[in-house]
Amino acid sequence: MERKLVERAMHGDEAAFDALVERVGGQLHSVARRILRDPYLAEDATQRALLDAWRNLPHLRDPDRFEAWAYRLLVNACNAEARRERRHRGNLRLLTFDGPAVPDHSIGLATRQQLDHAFRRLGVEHRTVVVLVHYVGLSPAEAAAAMGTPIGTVRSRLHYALKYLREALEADARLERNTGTA
Amino acid sequence: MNRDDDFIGRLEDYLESFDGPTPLPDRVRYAIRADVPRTRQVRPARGMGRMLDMMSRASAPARWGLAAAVVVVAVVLGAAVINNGGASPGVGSAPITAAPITAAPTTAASPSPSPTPTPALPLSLSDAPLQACYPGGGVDCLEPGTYRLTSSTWPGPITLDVPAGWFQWRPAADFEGVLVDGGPAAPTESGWGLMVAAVADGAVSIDPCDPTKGLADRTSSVDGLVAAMSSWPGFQATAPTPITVDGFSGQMIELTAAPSARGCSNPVLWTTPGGWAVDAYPIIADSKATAHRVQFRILDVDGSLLVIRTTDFPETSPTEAAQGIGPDPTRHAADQVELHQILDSIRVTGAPLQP
Repeated sequence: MERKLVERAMHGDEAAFDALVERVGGQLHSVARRILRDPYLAEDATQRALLDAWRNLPHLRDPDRFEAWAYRLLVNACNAEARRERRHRGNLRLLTFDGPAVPDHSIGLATRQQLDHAFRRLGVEHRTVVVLVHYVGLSPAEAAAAMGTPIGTVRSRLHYALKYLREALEADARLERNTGTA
Repeated sequence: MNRDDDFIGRLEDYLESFDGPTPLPDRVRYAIRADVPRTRQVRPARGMGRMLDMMSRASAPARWGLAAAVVVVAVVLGAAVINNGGASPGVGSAPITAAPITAAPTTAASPSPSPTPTPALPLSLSDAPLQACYPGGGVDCLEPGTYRLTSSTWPGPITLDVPAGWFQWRPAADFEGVLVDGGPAAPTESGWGLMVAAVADGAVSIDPCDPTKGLADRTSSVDGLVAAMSSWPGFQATAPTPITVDGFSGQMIELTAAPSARGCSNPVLWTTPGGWAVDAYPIIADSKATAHRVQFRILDVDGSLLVIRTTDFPETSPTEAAQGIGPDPTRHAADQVELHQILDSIRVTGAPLQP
């Protein structure tokens, strides 16, 4: 991230902020989609985080930390959207789609479905830590900063989430074996 | 590769491939571009900001020195205030008497002249503070106040006054409104309230129940859209009534299901500019025609069509019925009064924000 761009945006340069949005917006949206598992909530969370970033940029102490700071705003926005999620979206459906999911050649379809099913059942705070560490590539300390939680909490959430996902995969595999031999 | 490596590898592959590439959607990009110019940046207080900045850059001993200096200044200032307040009047010092503590409206607090600030737009519904819908209920009703509806595909921001017991309903980026809370008996939602959506040019169904019939022509004007809606098979429309909302003229029609709507499933009335299909709830709910009536206020806002849809009927809604609430002909009678207050408070872009 270019420090000068961040500094210009901190001083109210809208064009500089627009350039920042172009650089980080896609990645923030990708992270929000994986945390929230809902394209519409993810859009709202990304929009909310980016506007929060613009509003609070003058408070950013170190321009080199913009990206990490943006993750923190995004995590807050995802939590806020998840809280609003209980209202169901009854009388609408989307006619246009961003495109089908890219076929995944590295893992099998069954594994993908099992992981998808198990991942969906995790709470948003557990999905957040898994996404930050295993998708974004943050260290537990960086994830703790992004989530605003102690590093011990991040480690325990990560431990629980991975244990849960691993056990869910193994249980599904056992079920398949039993079904296959019955 | 051990068992853990294998599992983590599969997990990371899954996360990488989930949903494929997800670039920033245009809807978000345009909303940010629209909102940034009218969103003021929050700047830190100068003196304190500079002090914090100095402290963060200073070496550890210097930080302690700065902190000590701050404490000394605070103590000296505090002592001066205490001495002035507690001492008997002396030469050159005016007596200071403790002012009685009284409650006063905040608007009368500042007698010094200051430039009148440009009225800022109210908070968006998404940023609105929340409160419990009812004692012991979920904390997702809006605090009463004036809020802004946000959509990048509307001609401009829309503001409205929200009373207590209503919540944001925003299933899409360009489809937003407020619904009344259904109380503990309807924990999902009430399905009763007001929504605002735009109409994409040339995206109105000829027959909402039959997509094969295609899209209606000449629907880019209020009269054209009213004509298309009035001729929908499966629906009965009242004669259009001229209306004005915040100075913008339009027409209102009310739709109900016609006998031929029986068997109509997944109706699509029109598509919004963001690509959302607007269905016929609650005229047709869960593929069943109902006896409910829905009002459509169609406005021409600087050449763009904006539709305000309301469920202005007193009886139990289909969403509530689906949650086990029995027929009640007056369930929403009191809510109708609030709905009309909300409608009367609507302000469209460019209009004064004060009602």
